Amino acid sequence: MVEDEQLARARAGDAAAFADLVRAHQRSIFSIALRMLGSRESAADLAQDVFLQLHLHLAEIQSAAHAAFWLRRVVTHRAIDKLRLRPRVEMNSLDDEPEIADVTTPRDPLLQRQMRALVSELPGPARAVVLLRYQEDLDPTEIARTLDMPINTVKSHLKRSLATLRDRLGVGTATAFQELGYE
Amino acid sequence: MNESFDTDLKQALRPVDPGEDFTARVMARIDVANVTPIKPRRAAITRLLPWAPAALAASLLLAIFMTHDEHPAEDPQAGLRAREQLLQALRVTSEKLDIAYQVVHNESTAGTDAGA
Repeated sequence: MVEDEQLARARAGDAAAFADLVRAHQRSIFSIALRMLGSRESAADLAQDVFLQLHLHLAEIQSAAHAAFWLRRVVTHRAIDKLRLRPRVEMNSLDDEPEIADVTTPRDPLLQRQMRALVSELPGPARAVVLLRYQEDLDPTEIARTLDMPINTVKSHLKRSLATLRDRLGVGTATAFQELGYE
Repeated sequence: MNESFDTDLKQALRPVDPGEDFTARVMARIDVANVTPIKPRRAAITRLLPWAPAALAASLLLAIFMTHDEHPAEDPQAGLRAREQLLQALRVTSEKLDIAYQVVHNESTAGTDAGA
């Protein structure tokens, strides 16, 4: 597999291979950091720190899939830790987040902005669960492993967070949970 | 709207680009992190270098004193041979110090150029 070869070269000290590894994961890791912390500057700092840590721990990374898992795990845990240290009054505005242009499936940009704003108001662990489910497309088992959380807690976070989002957006909940298979 | 909620949320939370220079900034930080541990060693060598001539002179005096004191009754030829060996050792030490000085001087110059 090309990604595993890339990882092996990075592990052997090939800086260009490590740069390719960063490029492959930077959108995902930066976006998790951005939506957890709410500002591009803090997100860029955290994402860079996480890649720096990856560089230091390359010897422990066994495969490209492990690298992706490791990066998601470190960025979410560190973001949750940072949120715990913040004063409660500080809110994430997500004003820094650019509008996502999508020409293939035009959707309501205002609704999507509202959704991002509501996700940014969820408590840290719940926010991480929602991001890993909807941004990273992980299933509850993978989310539980990434966050060191019992799977029932993951499902509970998802259920409650989606209920909050739907409630705030004025969308019914029962049908949606059945659609998503959470209840 | 119910049917499209999942899709809308996925679209709302699609990954965004961190900017063109993100990778370059990560690689720059890795370069800095790799260089940092070398700095204290170079600083230590630079700090000790001014003392090298004094240390060398002290070693020389000590060596002459000890040689003179410990072997007063030996053959004069042996004394001359010991003196020759001592001078040879001093020449080698001096050459090594010159090389060390050149290395430190060159690294300092290279560091200044890179920072400019």
